Amino acid sequence: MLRYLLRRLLLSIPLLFVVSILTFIMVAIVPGDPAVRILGAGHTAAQYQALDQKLGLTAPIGVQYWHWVDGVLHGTLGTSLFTNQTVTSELAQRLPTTIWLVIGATLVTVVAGVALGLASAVWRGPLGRVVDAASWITFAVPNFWLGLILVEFIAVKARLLPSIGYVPLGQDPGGWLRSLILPVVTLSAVGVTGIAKQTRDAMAEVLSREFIAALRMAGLSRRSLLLRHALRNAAIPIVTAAGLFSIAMLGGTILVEQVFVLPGMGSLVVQAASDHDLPVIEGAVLYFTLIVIALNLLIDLSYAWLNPRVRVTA
Amino acid sequence: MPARYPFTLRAHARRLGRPASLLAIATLAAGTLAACGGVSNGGGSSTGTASATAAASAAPTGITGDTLTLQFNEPVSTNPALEGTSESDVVFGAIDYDSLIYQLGNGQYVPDLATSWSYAPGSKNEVFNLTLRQNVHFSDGSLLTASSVVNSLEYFAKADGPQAGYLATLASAKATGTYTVQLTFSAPEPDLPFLLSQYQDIGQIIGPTGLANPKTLTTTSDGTGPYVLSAAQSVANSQYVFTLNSHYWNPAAVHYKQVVVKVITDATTALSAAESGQVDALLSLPSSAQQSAKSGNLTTFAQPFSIASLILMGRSDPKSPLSNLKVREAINDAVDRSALAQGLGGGNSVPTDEFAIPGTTGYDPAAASTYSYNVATAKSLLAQAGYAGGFKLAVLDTLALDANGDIGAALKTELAAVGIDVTITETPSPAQFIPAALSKQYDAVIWPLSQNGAGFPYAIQFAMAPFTNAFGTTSTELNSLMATAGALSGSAASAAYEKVDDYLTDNAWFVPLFSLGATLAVAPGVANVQAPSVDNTTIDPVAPIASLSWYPSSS
Repeated sequence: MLRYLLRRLLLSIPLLFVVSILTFIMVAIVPGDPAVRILGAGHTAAQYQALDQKLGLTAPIGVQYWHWVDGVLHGTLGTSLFTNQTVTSELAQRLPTTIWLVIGATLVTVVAGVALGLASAVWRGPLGRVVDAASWITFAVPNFWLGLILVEFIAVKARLLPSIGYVPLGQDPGGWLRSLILPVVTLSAVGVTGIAKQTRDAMAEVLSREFIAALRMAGLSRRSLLLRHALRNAAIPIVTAAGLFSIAMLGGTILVEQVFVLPGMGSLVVQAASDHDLPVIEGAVLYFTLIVIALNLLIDLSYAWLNPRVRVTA
Repeated sequence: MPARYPFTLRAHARRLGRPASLLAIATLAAGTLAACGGVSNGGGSSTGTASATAAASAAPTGITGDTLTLQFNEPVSTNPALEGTSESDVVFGAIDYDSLIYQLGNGQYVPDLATSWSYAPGSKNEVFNLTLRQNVHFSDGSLLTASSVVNSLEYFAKADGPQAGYLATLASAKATGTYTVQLTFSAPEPDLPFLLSQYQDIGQIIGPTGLANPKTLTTTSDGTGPYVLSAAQSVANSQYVFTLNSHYWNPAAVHYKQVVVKVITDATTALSAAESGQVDALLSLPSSAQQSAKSGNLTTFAQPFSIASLILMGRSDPKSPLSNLKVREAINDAVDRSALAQGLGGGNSVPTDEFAIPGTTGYDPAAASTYSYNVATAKSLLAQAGYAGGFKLAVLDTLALDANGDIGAALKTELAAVGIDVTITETPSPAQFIPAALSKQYDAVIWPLSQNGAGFPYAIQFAMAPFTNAFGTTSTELNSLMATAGALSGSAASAAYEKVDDYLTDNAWFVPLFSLGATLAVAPGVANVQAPSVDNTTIDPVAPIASLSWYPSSS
């Protein structure tokens, strides 16, 4: 198992290189000049070029990339072209918000989705149709639009929860929770119904197997039958779906953080991209890639936990 | 060396394309009255005294509220020497840095760190003396002296930030006493009171700790202002928290325990935040959101700001038809400014064919009707110039300033009526627009004029920036007129700047279209918000005078 993990980690290194090179190329081909934003408008082309040179942006893209890699290997991700703060400190400020957002949304997705799916599998009928309809609707509704609707009714009209901002956990736990509720609901809406549908289908398939009928005839309680035997056997596709939704939610933070003005990685990426702040973009993409790799590893580990045969083959 | 008078792209991008509300008309009128009454807003003010008068008498003294939360866009930097200009300085600079001079909303200058100032007699606006307030301390605890001011200005000059150009002609900054400073320039600088006010950065004095390690100024601050930027509570480009400066020299003028600036760029989100009580004031509000703001129980304020224009850069390109004065006059006659103002300015804008905004220094009422909408006259002028069959005109536009390309589309239609075939190239933002404009591939650009509430030289520099003057128009006559005006003060300077305005109007370098205003919205919980009546000033939440600072309406 350890060897398997090490192999996966080693395979992730070339992935990081490929992602960082692609990011570099994409930023390079998009028109825009950080010097224009830094200096303002009243300057000559030569003055903009001089600043670009000072910032190292006139060097060939390969050289720029090498400088960045050299920095990474020496433990620094460079300095933001605009705030003059190190990229690591900017990311450190932003990471907790995004991590809490994704963890919260994943928890809500899994708990609510599995509960709904179980109920739908057991009782079927109208509840199953409701889950189906809800999943289609939430897939069709963009999460930023849902966020705006929630803000209008929950925050503006009812004034029950804040419409914007993030309160750090250490500063005020109650405020932290309140600041995350609407963003988490917005981010997890698609996942909840998606997992519910996945759970319902997987459970229906497992419940139709012979071993379930045998266990039922052996007199196992309904609760034990469903939660200990059926759900565990149906878990792998559910975990796979939950992992995929978590990764998708990471991307969803970009819009949700904009709507709720959260100081997270998503809003940082948007800002850095519009500013052509290459060190910040590269740093953020690196962090996002590492999170995705970590999530994939967690999913693989959960397979091994859920199914002993995976442990043997790994 | 950077050019003089740069400006903040984001601030301007946000403001243009935003029609003024009816309040703008009122404030415009107020600005005109103020100008007639001799109030100087940069063109001619030469002296200041400590006789500031209170604008409102009911203001409390000292702290009565907890947190004032403002909405704004992200700053260029929180280091004043690397910051932009205009409103961005007020929001991110004036909260924690006092300026040498304070400009009121009506354009008058009153003391802040300097208690008095004047140009040296006979110096032709080249030598400027200031006397500093005593017993003022920076947030690091050190005393403000003349040396502090000299050191701060010298840092600004070498920091190579957007405003370093303001000090391009500074020959020397000398401490002539413990609390007296003399600035000597190699050319007339008639707008120093404005340049040293809170609306620019160079007058915001940085303390010795900050100057010793300027990198710290991107996370915290070292000024003499009422607040200090809190590194621990702030997140770059998201939220800036300013806590009380325990060393502040005038606690009576401080009405909130802290000020928070939230970076919110989306208007809908900003409005929701204000309506749900999370933000007290929206300092960047697009015109399309004004009605929503009013229905959301917010109060909106407006002030004059700039002029939507077509800048005829090809005037200096011998290959361009625009090098012919009659062609430029024809274009000025071919546009229906009233219709454009009504259609694109939201019905609240004022049509204008002059370089200067009505009510500001240099505006010449007599030149107001130099050009009138007349297609026949325009065609006749084109025929006289040898372009009876029309010609092709390449125009560059940016959607960041011309929402949906509306101005470009309207100009294309109007100029087609006189035979000019306009090809519009749209760029998404100034970051793409500026390099394209500098490429000399375009005869004209759609870009705003003015900000001349900051002083006529500022407006000229604004209009003659390299990217709006790609073919390098120079004029000995213009330089001479500017030099003459720059060495004068008061009404003599105003009259001299009117001649500059006339020169620019007669030579038709530009096609001014209609004036635009800037707006903001304030929640009911905030009192004492006063709309400026001159352009290029921003509503200022903090002030060195108790009666001018905002305070909670419940106090």
